[in-house]
Amino acid sequence: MSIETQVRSLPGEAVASEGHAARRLPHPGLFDLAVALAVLADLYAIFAISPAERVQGDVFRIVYAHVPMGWLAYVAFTLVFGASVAYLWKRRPGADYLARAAAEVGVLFTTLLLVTGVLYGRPVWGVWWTWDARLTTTLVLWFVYVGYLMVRSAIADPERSARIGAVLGIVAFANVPLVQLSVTWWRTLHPTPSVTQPGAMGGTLLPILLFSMAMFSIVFARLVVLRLQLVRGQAEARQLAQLVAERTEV
Amino acid sequence: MENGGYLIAAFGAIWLGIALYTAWVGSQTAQLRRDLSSLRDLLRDDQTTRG
Amino acid sequence: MTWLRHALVIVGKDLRREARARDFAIATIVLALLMLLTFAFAFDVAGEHVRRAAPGILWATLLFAGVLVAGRTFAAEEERGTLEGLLLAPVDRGAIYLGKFLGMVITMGALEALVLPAYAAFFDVPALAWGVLSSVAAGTVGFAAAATLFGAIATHARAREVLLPLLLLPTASPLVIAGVRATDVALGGPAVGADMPWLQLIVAGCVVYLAAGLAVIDHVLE
Repeated sequence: MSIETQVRSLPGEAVASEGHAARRLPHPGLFDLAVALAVLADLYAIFAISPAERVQGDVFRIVYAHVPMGWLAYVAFTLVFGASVAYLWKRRPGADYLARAAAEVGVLFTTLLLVTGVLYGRPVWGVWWTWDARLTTTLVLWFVYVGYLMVRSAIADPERSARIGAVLGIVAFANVPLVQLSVTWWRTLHPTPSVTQPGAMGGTLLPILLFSMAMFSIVFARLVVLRLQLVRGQAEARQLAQLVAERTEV
Repeated sequence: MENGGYLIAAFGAIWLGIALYTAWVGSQTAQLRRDLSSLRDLLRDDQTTRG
Repeated sequence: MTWLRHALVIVGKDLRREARARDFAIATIVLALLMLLTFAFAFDVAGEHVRRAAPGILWATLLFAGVLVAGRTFAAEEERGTLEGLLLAPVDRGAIYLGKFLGMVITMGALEALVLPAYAAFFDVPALAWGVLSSVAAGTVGFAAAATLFGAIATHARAREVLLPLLLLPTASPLVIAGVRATDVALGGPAVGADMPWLQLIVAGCVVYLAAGLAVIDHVLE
């Protein structure tokens, strides 16, 4: 079997030609330009179109970033859960790659959620932090998925890392509904979810919030795809390296 | 604009975070491209010497 | 019911090993007592602060000792060899999980039997009251269930000793929160939170952690 055939027959994403690999690695293109334009349009809406809030003033605009961060963190960890279940069920490496990528972007967005929350809380509530139900459970959520990422890096064997990562990805997901439920179970300083209550927010707030949500969702998706391609490529490089090692050994 | 510092810090943190992450992924990907390219060269050379 | 027999064999083996080489057990007990002392310094418990800090000090001490015991469960040096042997044999993974879990509960129970009286004496609190004992017992069971799962996970990872508490503490936090509240109420604390069913919450946590552990252990210990 020629080396080309051997390489092509590697499980997963084997590469046989320069062009093939280059196509699947990200290049900044028209899509990224569109994303950048969407970001700028949203920032314009947030700062120029939206009026300042009556009581809180301009600082209220942080909400346009804070709420999407929270929502997308949930989406990310739901993706991790789904990909983890899929991996344990079908053992497809692609599912594992998605779990890793989504977890990483999820941790990034959770970090930004906490940071924007703190920066919003200080001027509005007077304190940097409070140990109410929502903030506490969100912080626990952060630790849980940081733990997930650390375990993934700490296990050398890729198959074992994927398998144990999948178990963690499933078990860790219990924290996501916990954050939501904690708000209803305990009185909390944090505002209760008001987006789902009709009429709670009027005027320009809801449309701009939804626009921001859409914009950050696109950014989120782009980041996950970028990271996913990197994970995939690294797995492939490992397989190629192994092949090289085998050939040179003989 | 009162409390403007918090507002700027918040949006700055968001976009700095996203930018740093994108830059990190980008540099890792560039490194990966180099690794893949040299690995393929190695395999091609090996193929040539073996005939 | 071979799996139960296997589980009990594993418990017996682990407990015999700990009884033979007593250093770890003794050192852990002494360390737990030392933690009580350290917390007494840290929280300046001469005076009325004692009552406020007491429940938290108990649970922080047990958490600290628990992390050490959890690390021991899968990681003792000779244990690595016997674990490989267990995995090669057709032993049900759930039996291994249960055996390790029970071993940890018994070890923690023995530790608590010594630490609780010392705690009651040092901080002048009725620590042997039913409210305290029940919440500590339930909390220990839940903690052991989570610790056994994460111990099995961490056993294949680098920086195992740090990863185990890193995974365990966030998961154990609901147990600690509920446990401290329950202990506070049992020690005659303020009526705030007395109406919440803390013990039931802890017990629910035990069920959830045990169920989750048994459900996924096959994938962890392949």
